Amino acid sequence: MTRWHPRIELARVLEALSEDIIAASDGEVREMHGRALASTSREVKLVIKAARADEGSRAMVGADAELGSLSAGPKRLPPHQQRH
Amino acid sequence: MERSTVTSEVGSAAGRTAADAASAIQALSETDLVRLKALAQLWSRGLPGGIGWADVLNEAIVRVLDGSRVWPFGVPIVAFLSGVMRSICDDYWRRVRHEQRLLVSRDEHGRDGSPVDPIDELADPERMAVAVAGLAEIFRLFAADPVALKIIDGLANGLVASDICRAYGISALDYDTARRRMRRTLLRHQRNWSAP
Repeated sequence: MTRWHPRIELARVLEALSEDIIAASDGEVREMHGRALASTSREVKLVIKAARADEGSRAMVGADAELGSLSAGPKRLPPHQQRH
Repeated sequence: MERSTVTSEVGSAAGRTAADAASAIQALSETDLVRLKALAQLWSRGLPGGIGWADVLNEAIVRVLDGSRVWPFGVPIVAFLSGVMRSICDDYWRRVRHEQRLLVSRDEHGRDGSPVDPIDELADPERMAVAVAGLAEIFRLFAADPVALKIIDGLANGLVASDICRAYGISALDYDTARRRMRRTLLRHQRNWSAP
């Protein structure tokens, strides 16, 4: 009997769905997001800004310090900005 | 985590400089930023330890900016960042699994730093449970669309478009139309996607 590997199946589906998201036209993204588009893009800009600051501080301390890595747990945004 | 020796000022034969990537990230359009969030939510779904989409996206950008991930020529920046996020999430799962193994069996063979057995990794109960829940959620998301469900089943089984059409009796036109519907459904339901 073949063993079921849900993780592999999920990985394949997620890969395909990620390609769908990338392939979505600007029109589709705008249409599906409507008024939320501006607030979502602002939210992502904040993440990018935080990442730039993190990268700068890691460079100051040294890459080996691995400050702010994922293993340190979530801390990128204050809880009220971590929208799902 | 391993980092390459490529600095932010120097590119390589395989890719652009970190400065190029920084400029491209800075110049992302509103719609690309929305795509990035959707991708971050997709990859970070179900990660343990309270890690969210913003953490994964942040880490991906840091690694691109510090040069540890080199942006290859010919790859769009959003697709590249998506790949980096996927890899970060895979690494994170692997690390969680490794730490669990160390905690559970300190005195057993695994403590010598030998690589994790891939079959064992596949059988990781927590990750398997998250995967089952993820698959169920995807099937639920497209429950009203029988063609989409067939496509997802085919994708899960590793089939390419032509094989899916042949195996499930779908025309190429119906396949393309269904993929477009899937894209729209995904974007519409993006907000529901990050919680396991």
